[in-house]
Amino acid sequence: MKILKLDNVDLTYFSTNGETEALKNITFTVDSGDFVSIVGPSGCGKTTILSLISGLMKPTKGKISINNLKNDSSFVGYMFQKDNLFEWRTILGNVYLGLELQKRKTKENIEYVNNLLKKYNLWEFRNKYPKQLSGGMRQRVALIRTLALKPSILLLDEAFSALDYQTRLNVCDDVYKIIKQEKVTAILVTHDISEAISLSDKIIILSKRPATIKKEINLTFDKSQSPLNRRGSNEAKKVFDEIWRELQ
Amino acid sequence: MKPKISNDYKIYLKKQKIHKGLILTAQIGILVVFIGLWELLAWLEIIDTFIMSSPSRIIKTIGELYRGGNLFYHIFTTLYEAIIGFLIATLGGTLIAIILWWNDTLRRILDPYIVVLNSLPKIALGPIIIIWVGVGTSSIVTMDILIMIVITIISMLNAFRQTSESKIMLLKSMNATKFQILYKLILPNSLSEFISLLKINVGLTWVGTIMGEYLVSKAGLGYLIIYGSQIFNLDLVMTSTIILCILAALMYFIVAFIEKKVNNKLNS
Ligand SMILES: Nc1ncnc2c1ncn2[C@@H]1O[C@H](COP(=O)(O)OP(=O)(O)O)[C@@H](O)[C@H]1O
Ligand SMILES: [Mg+2]
Repeated sequence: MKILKLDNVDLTYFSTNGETEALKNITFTVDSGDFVSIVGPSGCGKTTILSLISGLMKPTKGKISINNLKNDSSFVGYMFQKDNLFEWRTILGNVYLGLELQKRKTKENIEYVNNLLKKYNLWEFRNKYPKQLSGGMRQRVALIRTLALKPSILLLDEAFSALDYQTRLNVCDDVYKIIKQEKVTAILVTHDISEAISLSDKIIILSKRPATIKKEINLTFDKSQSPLNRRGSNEAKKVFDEIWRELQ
Repeated sequence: MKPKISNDYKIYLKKQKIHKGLILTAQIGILVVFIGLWELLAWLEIIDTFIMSSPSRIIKTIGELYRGGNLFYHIFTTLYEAIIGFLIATLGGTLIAIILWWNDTLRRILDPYIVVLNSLPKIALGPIIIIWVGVGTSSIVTMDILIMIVITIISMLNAFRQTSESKIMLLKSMNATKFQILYKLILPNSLSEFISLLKINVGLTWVGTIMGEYLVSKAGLGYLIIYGSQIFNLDLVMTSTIILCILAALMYFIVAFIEKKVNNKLNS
């Protein structure tokens, strides 16, 4: 089942310094429940694609359609490189933020979020403030804050890049597990090829700006493998070389 | 669970405590020596009490003012003006900053005017204020507000605009309205700047009030200082100045106390 479709999407930024053609002829689809990664040189337009999918911007040309599968919401969740936790709110206050904004702080939804915190070992920290948590835990809180709104698609923009390498591998594993368990469709933007390989069902390779799609690679890993295990596999090495060559 | 304290740490803590005590003793010492020396030099007639006054004469003057029923009248007049001006300028300035944050076009239009108003020495507006607002408390409060409001607008607007773009994006991605961005993010995020501003304004409000009273007044500590200097009663001038010092310090400590409470809450 297709959940997302970009059809011939162009995007040009206008500013007093001139026009910047960021995206050109971007066409791809995402299957429900899949994990798709977008890789490409920095500044090519990856974040722009996510902004378009989330509805923060409208495309200059072309069409973006989201298939509303879970019929209760067609919400697109967005996770950024920075966890953006509010320092003056407790962990609980932070994960309830979206529910407050959308006036959906019902008993049922609160229970759902509380359960997520319990399931992913953050419940005992619920009354702590963000600065009392490690970087990895903070990123997990940020994920739960987004999941609280039951998104049909989750966008991750370099979501692990701010973490140190060791933490990044672990958080990657955790987040992957959570995403798969909660059956969320995810689109990750990253400049880390190995990370993309370890997480994805499909990788989209972009060219330099204006970004066009250079290649799509479908990965055939055993889905039950954890990202960390995938990293070392032979297939991962082969795909890495392929992507590396494309990006040159 | 209490962590075990090593002996070295105990010694360290003790040293810190002694050091803190030393600083407090020195602080009080300076005050005592200053007052003592002043009184002594006056008593020995090394300094002329007619122009320098002396601690005992200041206490006497306070007593006289009190018996005349004027002491608290003057104190409260000035205190009232200072507090009203402080509140109006701080809250009004913040409100204007919110409006300018909300409407970026308006902010850009008014930007040069704010810059000019900020560099203008407000005292120059004194005569205009008196003519427009009239002779009385409202003129003094107006002067006081003018001293504080521009800097309030500038620093709060700065704080609002420095809120992380990425956090704003986050809220937008969760479909927040502009009003929600304001009260869920911009305002709480600017709280510590607001507290710093309170500390600046609590000092400025005395500048504004006394300046206002110098220009036009029938009562208040500024009035007493001007009046005292005109009739060459330096006891009255010194007394009013000292009372002013104490009031300003008290108000500052109240704000500093609020700051500590808020910071404790933020850093707990
Ligand atoms: N708001 C904007 N106005 C003008 N140009 C922009 C804006 N946002 C991004 N760009 C430009 O568009 C290009 C793509 O940006 P972005 O999508 O952030 O790249 P990436 O995420 O791949 O690093 C860059 O050259 C960037 O400078
Ligand atoms: Mg980017």
